[in-house]
Amino acid sequence: MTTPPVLDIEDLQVRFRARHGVVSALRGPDLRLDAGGLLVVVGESGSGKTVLATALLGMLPSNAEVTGSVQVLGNQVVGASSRQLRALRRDHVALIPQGASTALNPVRTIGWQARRTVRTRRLDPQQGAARIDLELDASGLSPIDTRRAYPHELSGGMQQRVLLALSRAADPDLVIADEPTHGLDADLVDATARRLLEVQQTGAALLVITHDLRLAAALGGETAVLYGGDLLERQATLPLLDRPAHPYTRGLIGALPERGANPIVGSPPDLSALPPGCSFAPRCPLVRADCTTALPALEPIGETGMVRCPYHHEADQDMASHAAAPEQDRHAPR
Amino acid sequence: MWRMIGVRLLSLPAIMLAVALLTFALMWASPYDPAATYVAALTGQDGASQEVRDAYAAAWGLDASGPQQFWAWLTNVTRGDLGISREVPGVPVTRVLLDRLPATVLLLGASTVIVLVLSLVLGVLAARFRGSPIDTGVRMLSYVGTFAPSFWLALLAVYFFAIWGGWLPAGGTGDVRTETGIELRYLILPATTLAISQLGWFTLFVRDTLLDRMRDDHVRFAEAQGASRTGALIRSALPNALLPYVTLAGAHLPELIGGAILIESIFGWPGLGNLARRAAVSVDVPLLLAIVLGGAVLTVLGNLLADIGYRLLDPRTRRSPA
Repeated sequence: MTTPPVLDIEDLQVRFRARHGVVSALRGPDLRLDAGGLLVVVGESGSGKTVLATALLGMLPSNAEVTGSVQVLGNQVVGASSRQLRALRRDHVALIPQGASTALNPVRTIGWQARRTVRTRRLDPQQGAARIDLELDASGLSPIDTRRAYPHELSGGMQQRVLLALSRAADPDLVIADEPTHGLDADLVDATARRLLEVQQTGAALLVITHDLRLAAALGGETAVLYGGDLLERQATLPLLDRPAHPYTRGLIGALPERGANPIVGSPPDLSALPPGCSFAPRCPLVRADCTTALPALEPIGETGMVRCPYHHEADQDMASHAAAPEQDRHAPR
Repeated sequence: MWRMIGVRLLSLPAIMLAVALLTFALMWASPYDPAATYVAALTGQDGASQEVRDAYAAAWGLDASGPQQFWAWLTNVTRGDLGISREVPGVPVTRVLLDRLPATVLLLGASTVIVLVLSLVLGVLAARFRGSPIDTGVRMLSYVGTFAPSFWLALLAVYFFAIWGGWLPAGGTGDVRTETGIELRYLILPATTLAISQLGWFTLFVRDTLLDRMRDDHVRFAEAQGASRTGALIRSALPNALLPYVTLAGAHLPELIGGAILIESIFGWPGLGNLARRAAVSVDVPLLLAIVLGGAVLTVLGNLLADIGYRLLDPRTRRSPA
């Protein structure tokens, strides 16, 4: 292949030096995304998914130690100068931030923010403005009224559409959506997914970070599951939701209301004291002695998938009994 | 918004009455006898006879009870008569105030401009270069400026700039034939010294608010689009940081007025602050009451203006255009 992938992450490790010790936020996930590709990164809070998005933009705080490699269109992000990072963000990447209500400047009109986007991205003023108006119009917003409005005068869904329109102004190669359904009603989830898929259809690579499995189902593509900074499973989204391999993924799906709403017992790991082995071992119903000594390797699964659990084949019958007798788990060691 | 302005203006008389009552009570409770002080000043000797003092007290109504005196003063005030000053003998208080007002307004105005401009510049610099020697330097100076007594700073400034360097006058107003009666170079030391006493607070406030706002999602969003840190700070964070800054500016006006009493006295500035000190020392009740009331009015109006400014600047509290 001559053209580099839009996004190529190899052994990305992120640690934060904090007062009470070192917090490991990411422990070396490998992820790759080609032009026109779609990757959904699923995880609970503390799984490292937001750190991942921030690391891709080179916007981690100064107490973060980053090793490994993140390449956007062949440009290395780890260790890049702030000038290089700015150029990369400006010319190739668009972030749709979490929380549409706070991602717009409360004291400026949407029109002002649209002009700022055009200026910052170094677009032609007329063409950039026309493009944003087109995007607003396509998402059912009146460009004139919307430009005149302040963020607080728009609903959450409208703010979301404004952010999406702004992010598309420069035809980015990589669009990162951080929790795009955060705080949105269920009926807006599908609409948001449709708008995101339109972005993908223009040829941009789309990385969606979410804890919302319904959004993943509506999007398709590939899904990666993060837990405690480790990549636990990666598969095409629909097979993953249908036949999850890793016990953690099974637990996530089992926790959905329509699948019985059985939450995973225990709490997410303490990132400043991760166990030496599998980060999910303390909560895993299938845990074996060797799970707690060394991090299992990723094993291929299905056509293109990977799972980080040597016992996932045995999961089926064990998980069935686990679901039948949830009381036992209350006494499981944390 | 009009409702807020109305409520504030309607509450103004009540505030003024309370302030007047408190000031009057304090002066009434003070061990200094206005009659004795005045007679002593007139005759140049301390031990004026009791008859002279009684005659004076009777002539000025000082033999009446405290509440009666206050009531008499209050009824006069409602007719627009603030009484007659004794510190500036025989001149109506209103006249004295109007004569002194321009100098104080000039001093307060110049100090306010210095505080606002310098605190914004220094605060933005410190926030932009957080953790660098610039930041450390600005913070150190802010703490020193805030906690150093203003009279001490004033004396230091006089010593350094007037006595040792000889660059600036130590006090006074210079050639009174200028338009305001004040030469501008006489303004530099008092205005700067007064400003420094407030500058630290304002600078640290700008710095800390900016650093808070820099963590806001929309500022991060601007940076994610490729905006520079400086650009995001000035265009996205600063307008949001300015909202509480406006309120702070209004709330700190009384401190500036209070500071002016010391600064005007040290620099011999012909303003109301200097006059207030003299009125207090010579137990000139009508004059002091009037100045304190004026300060109260300025404080209320300053806060009101700050709140109006806040509402005009923040689109969330402003009625949206239809």
